[in-house]
Amino acid sequence: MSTAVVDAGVLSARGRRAPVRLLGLATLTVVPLLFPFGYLLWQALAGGWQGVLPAGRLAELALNTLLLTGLVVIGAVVIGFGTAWLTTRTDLGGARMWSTVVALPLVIPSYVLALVLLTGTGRQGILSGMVVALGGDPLPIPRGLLGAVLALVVSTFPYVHLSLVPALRRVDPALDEIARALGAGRLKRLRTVLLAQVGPALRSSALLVGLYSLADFGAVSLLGYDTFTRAIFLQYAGRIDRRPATLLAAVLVLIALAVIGLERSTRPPRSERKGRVVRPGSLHRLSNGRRFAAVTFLTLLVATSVGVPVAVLAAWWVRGTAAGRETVAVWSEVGRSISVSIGAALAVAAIAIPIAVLVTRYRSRLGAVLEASAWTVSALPHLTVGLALLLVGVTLLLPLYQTLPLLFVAYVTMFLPQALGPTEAALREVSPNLEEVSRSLGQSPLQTFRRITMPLIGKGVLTGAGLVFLTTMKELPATLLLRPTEFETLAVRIWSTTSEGFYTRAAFASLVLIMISAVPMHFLVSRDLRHA
Amino acid sequence: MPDTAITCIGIGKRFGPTIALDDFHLDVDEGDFHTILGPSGCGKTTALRIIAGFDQPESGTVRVGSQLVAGPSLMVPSERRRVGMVFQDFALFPHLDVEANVSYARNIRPGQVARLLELVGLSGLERRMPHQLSGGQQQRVALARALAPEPRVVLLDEPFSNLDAALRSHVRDEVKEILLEAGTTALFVTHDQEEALSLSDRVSVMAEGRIVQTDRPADLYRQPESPWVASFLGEADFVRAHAEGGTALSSLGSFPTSLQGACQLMIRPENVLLFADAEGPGHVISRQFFGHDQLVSIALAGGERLRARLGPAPDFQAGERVSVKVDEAVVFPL
Repeated sequence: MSTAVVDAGVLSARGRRAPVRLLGLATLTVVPLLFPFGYLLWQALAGGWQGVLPAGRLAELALNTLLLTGLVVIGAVVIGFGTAWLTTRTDLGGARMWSTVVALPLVIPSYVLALVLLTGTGRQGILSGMVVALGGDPLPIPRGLLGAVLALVVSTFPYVHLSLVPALRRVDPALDEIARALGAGRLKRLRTVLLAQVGPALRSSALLVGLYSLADFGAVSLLGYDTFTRAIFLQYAGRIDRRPATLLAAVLVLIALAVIGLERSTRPPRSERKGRVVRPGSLHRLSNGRRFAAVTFLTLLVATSVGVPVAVLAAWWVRGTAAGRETVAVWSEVGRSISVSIGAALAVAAIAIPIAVLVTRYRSRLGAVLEASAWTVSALPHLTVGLALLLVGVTLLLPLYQTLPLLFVAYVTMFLPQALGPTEAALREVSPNLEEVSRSLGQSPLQTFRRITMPLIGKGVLTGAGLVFLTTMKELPATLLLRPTEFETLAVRIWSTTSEGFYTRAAFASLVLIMISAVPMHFLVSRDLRHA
Repeated sequence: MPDTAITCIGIGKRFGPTIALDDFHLDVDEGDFHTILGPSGCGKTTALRIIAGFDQPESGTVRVGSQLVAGPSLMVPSERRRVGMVFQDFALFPHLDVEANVSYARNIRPGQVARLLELVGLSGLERRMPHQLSGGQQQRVALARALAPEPRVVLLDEPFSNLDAALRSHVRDEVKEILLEAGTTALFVTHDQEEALSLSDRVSVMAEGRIVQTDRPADLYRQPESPWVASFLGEADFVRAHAEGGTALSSLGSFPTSLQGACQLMIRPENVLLFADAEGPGHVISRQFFGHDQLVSIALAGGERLRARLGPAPDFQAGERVSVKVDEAVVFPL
């Protein structure tokens, strides 16, 4: 006699075999994302190791990159944990307001922060001017490691904050109360109770910050700190021989893959993410003195990470214009950036839909593989995405070399999960029963999708498109490598004018970029690091 | 003999290692209100989904009317089966108003939507959105929507379990009336015995992936084919007996049977009468008093337990000795 134990209704909603057409469509969109990296790694191997790079160069770059990554992780985690703890576990109040404000630095790309450091310090620097007025010496320009760490900590601590806030909210107060009843002191409770519960989120956000530092190109290249990305770009720009750049990019891809794998394995399990409803914990009560200190800390943090950069850029631009330096209209760059970003947003959102349907509506191993590939590939350094596609373009698809379609492939590679996340979430909200009822009322699968599913997931798809729009606006390294000649976006213009020393033009373009990205800011705030 | 609206023959379906349906047979007569009744997890929803065309069976065939809709290497898609569906959560399209929901199907005859809204008593609410309706109203919209394209059969998956208890019996009667009025065959799935017995023309009891008995509600209740079905349908106690020459004998009387040898009697509490009797063979163990009736548990001389459902009087006390009279019993092999 057979047994039937589980509620088969629930199972079967997801247990159906996916239609072949859908599988084909999804495969067709994801394979181009994987191929260039395979090709890059193969080319690097085929090119051989010997004599491609000067002896010790690889070790030197690895050491520099590791040093930068380590320092940024420590800085971002300390600050991000601090802000998250203050806003969730104390009676500071205004948690929602602070969380929004603390996430503001996300609108400022790292290469703009580099520009801020370059224009704020030195003998002509605006911040130096203020220090001198107070009787001090002008601030030295923080080139190299110091500047890179500063810029990257400011761009990454909000990620730590955003991923720790939900983890800290989920902390079960009962455990702390039991520990207290068992006589554990404050330090022991912090270690055994609090850190044990937020540990997974903390580790995972630290690894993601590490990945970000590893991948950053804008700040390190403008501040002249010698890491993999900077070396790859210099090798690529300066030489006819592609082998050194290819080899370095391959090594960087492998390192990034290792970090991504580590992050996957330490990510908190699903059950913990969704979580049961826990009673909100009793909040740590702040004395008046400490409350004042906490508010001061948060205010100063936001001021230095958002207020100061904007003020420095604005002041530099005003001073430059007053001194007669031309600003050069960036409106054609703005137009190009906006249209290319809208195009990327629409393309990525459209490509995400069949994959999201496959993942949420069917039990398909291929779907899971496709989704995991999209996430992995998107986490690889953008410079390597650019280089891998460039390599494919130059050697295999010459007609596509330096064309917009190739650039769009890069955008899909880098940003697909940003559209996938909200689209999948929206699909999970739509009961499969609705689609089944529609079918039973005589409508075909396509009609059902058009009349029922699409109207109901529209908001999620738009959210995804909005995220892709924002990140495409700011994207630098891949755009720099793959854009058609003379196709200057806002980001490329900021980078090139900064590296050539035209700070006034760069400052103006940066202000415009920040303003455009700041408008739909709430998109980014509501999402955690994986989506941001 | 009436035509059959649905015929399932030997359907098998598994999900991974779990067997949901195993040699499942079902015949639903044209015009009937037919119910599949079974405990949760018995596979009844899977059966409904296979008939609707949402899932594909691994073996066996499904006919709707005379059309073969699922079988070896054949799977007619849901949209070409003319089978209506009402889900437990009603599954109203949240972005469409009442009228748009009801008129959603393809090939609706002109005037049909207004006629159905009238039938389900929702005329005047055409412009309401689903979230502006009460649970009972949502239920009726779902029903009207399923009936609009004039399906050959309507399937209802636990349609009353999302309604609160006070509303349920009222909505139940309404739905039954609407379906009678529309003259549509209905196949309905539930785990609620009372619901199944009170609503249906015929009930199929399901366990572990197959139908174990199909009958009219009264026959099913009074003549269950197995002790399991008996217990599943209502309160039942079992008492040992011995059968010989067409009669099962026990301390509680004799009952006709075709069995021979050791057997057991299935006795429902409402068929048991108790009389206060100091010399009686049983004594009262406990009593639950409900007002309109009382449930009295007694122990018989051999230690066997029996329950009696009686009117509010007499006032039985624990320990009191009683004599027992059983009006009706079903004999099962041991």
